[in-house]
Amino acid sequence: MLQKIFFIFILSFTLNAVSQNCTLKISGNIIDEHDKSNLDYANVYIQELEIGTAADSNGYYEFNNICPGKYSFIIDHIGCTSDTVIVNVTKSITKNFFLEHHAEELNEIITTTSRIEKESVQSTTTIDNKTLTKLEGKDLGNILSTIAGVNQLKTGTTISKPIIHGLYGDRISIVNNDVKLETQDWGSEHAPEIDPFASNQIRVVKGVGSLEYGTDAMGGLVLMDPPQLQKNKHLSAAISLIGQTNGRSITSSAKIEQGFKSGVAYFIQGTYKRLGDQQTPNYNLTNTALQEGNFSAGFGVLKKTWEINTYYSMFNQQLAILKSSHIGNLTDLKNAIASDTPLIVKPFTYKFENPQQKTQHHLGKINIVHYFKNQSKLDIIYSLQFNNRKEFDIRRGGRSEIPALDLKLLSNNILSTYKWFKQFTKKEVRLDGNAGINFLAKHNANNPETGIRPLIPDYYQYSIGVFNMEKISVKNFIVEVGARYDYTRFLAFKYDKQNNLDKPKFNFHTYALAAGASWKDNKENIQLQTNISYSSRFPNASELFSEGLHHGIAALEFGNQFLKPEKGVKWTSTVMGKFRNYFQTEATFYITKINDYIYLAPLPEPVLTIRGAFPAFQYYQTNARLIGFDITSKFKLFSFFSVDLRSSIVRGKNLSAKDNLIYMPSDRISTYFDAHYSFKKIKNVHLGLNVQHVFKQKNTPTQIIDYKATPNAYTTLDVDAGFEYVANEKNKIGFSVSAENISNAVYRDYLNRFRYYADELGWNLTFRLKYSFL
Amino acid sequence: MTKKILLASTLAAILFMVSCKKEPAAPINESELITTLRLTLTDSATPANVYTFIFKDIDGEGGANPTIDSVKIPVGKTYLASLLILDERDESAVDTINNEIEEESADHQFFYQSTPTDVISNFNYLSFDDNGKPLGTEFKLKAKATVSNGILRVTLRHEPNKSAAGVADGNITNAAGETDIEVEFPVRLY
Repeated sequence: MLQKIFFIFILSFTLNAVSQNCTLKISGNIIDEHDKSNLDYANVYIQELEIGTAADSNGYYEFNNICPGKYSFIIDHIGCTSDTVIVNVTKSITKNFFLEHHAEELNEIITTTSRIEKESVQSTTTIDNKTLTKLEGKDLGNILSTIAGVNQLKTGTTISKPIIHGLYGDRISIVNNDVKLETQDWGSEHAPEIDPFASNQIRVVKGVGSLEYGTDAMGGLVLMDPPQLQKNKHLSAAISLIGQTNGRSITSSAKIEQGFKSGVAYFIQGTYKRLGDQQTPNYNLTNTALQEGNFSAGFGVLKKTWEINTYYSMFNQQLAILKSSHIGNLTDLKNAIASDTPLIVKPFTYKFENPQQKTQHHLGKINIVHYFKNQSKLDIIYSLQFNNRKEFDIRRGGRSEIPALDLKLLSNNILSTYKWFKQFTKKEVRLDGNAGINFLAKHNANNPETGIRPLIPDYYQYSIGVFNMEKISVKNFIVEVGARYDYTRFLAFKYDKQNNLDKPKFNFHTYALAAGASWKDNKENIQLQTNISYSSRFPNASELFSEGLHHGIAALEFGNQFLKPEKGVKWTSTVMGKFRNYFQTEATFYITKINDYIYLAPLPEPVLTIRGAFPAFQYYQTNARLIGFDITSKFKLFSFFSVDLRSSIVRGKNLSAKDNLIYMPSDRISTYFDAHYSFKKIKNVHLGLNVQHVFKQKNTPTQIIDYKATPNAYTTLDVDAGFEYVANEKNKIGFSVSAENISNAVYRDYLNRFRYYADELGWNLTFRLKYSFL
Repeated sequence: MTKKILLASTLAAILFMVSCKKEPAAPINESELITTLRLTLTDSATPANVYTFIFKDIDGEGGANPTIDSVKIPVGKTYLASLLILDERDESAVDTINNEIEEESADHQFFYQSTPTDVISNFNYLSFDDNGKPLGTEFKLKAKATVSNGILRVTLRHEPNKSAAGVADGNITNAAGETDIEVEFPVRLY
């Protein structure tokens, strides 16, 4: 019976297609330009239609039910530079594509839009361009939290840090365009300085991932991919305008990309965002405005044997921090907590008042690639990053204009990698290698004009790392092993309270080892992945030296110079399964054991100051264990209707103290109902409902005092609807509306550090308008 | 070729790292530190009887513990009180914070509380801001008539809501703002 219903629906869909005269078939072979051999398993992607397919083992591909039109075909293959070919389709045709064969790392070939997933032994989730368009206007933390197993640690409404499998901050690496972002991630109230608009796709690796970026990514990696420079890519542009009712925000973003036959290619992208005070269902959140101006551009010359790519990105943000969260001591904190509403509530404004933060991040990169005759590849990336963080407090004596914290972090990074592969005569066996060397020099400087003893001292950090990864693929089976070693010299300049200079020096040796395997059946209905990795992270400047008062949480924090690197072992296993087009699922189980896990533990006695007594915390080390499970399933009930289910669970234990870990995400489940349909000119018409339920966190630490009871469970409802108007093959306009928290639910979240002061946001309407020129 | 490039980049990187000057920046002096609260009580009937009590935390938050005097005063009398707020970290250049507080008098207010409430009572403001609202660097208090022990708490709020209910009368409950000083003196009336 069910099959009959399916059949009828599929039939009606097909009939509909027939009535649109979209019956054309495009098929052909993917051929190596040099030896004219057929390239197996190449990917072919039609950019305008956002559909893709993989060629079979003989290099044959086929698209059916295509409407007449002019399309850009993007073809890529393991070891080839991807190519774009424009084809004017008027009748069913046979079209062969020729590719230049180069050695390239398996995971690295990325087409400009939602690419077809590459084989990897790691559990990787990709947020493609289509999904990113739906989420435009949100910050990185928000976007990433749409992935099961990824949560956000928030401070108020505009500061959000990603948590992957229960770990956050320095235990996660964010990589922008192959460069590890060097920011001042040590503070919980410091969000990563990056603009999601600058990326065409975002990938999350829930494991140590590629060892190219360090030994410390215990939680996982966030890889941000900007538009890829492509040869012979016709001019394309996109302009987005986004308006939000809550906070009365306006965001605009524009992007332009082009690649010439000569191999010269470029892209330019910019974003501006303005947000005023936001609202909970019952009151204004006074002083929560935000302003952002970001820019990025890439320019490159791509030749057969070499490439030079340059990239620059700038992030500029000013954000106000909820006035009621600024407290002087424990009495203030208790008063703020006792009050159901924030103590300071004023009418809406776009204005910024103290406390506020101003952050800037610049990233410049030069990348030289050389392809050798034996199809191996040398890749040298030099990058320079400058991060400036200024925090302004409410101060006495007209000092509010002077930043209370003003840190400048300069990072130089050279990453040289050599990648090769060997295809054995038996075609199914292939060996891939990747070896490299990495230098990093960092300097962190405090502005001496702040008039406040710095939270962390000035320091220099020099690191050298070497790594090697090898991968062997036999038919449907892949095994990958890798190792990395880093030596770091860390020199700090710390003044004590009597202004005596102390110059502590540290030498850290950190290692990472990774091994993984993946297998899939011939029909790719089942895929299994398992990974085990060892990683280590040396303590950061805040963990070593921090000394001072945290205003938002009324606690004194002390660093510990005797900390050793923390060492983690993570085992991840993923099962992916699908049943035709109807059902698809991915489940990941993981266990992470971290020895010498660095955490803040309360000191037995509060510290008495002239502001009253404060609870005091110091960084200590313990052994910790995290166990978790995430699952994502998609049921495609009809061709026009699907249901997505996502759920995640994680438990964190402090083994030495026999206690729970703090800030562990609570269990959650969400369901997304999506109805969608495409007409001839009006495509991707969709209506979606998202229901998310977040359970109460019952596994909180008992040995760390929490001033307010853990928030209750809550359910939020979001609705979104939209369509795309395709005027012709070159011009497309997309419009969508989404309504968040439509029931205007009043709730607080355990992972928001401002849950002491205020509720989460009330309902919000977002309007998105996007014009694309292809 | 590859080796040469790798070697060259390695050398460049090492050169770069070594050539960096490793000089510390100048130390940062705390500009808003409050080390000392000096409470002076003058017997209103016999102005020659002056008592001074000090709360002092010379190294700021953390470090050595503060020293706190006990407020020992005769019973049953009315006292004129004044508060002197100092940054005494540098003995050669003691900073009187009162100046800053008085300059921004509209943004500051002192509050006084006694536990038990009757040990010290009848707190009255004697100094006011530019809008005629209480500031409280000068005030008046009355000691209980019988020998007793208690605690006197002195609080300084920055940016309080001075027009909230009861705040002008010295009730801290609705004052909000941020606490800059919160000091508790043990009290012994003899």
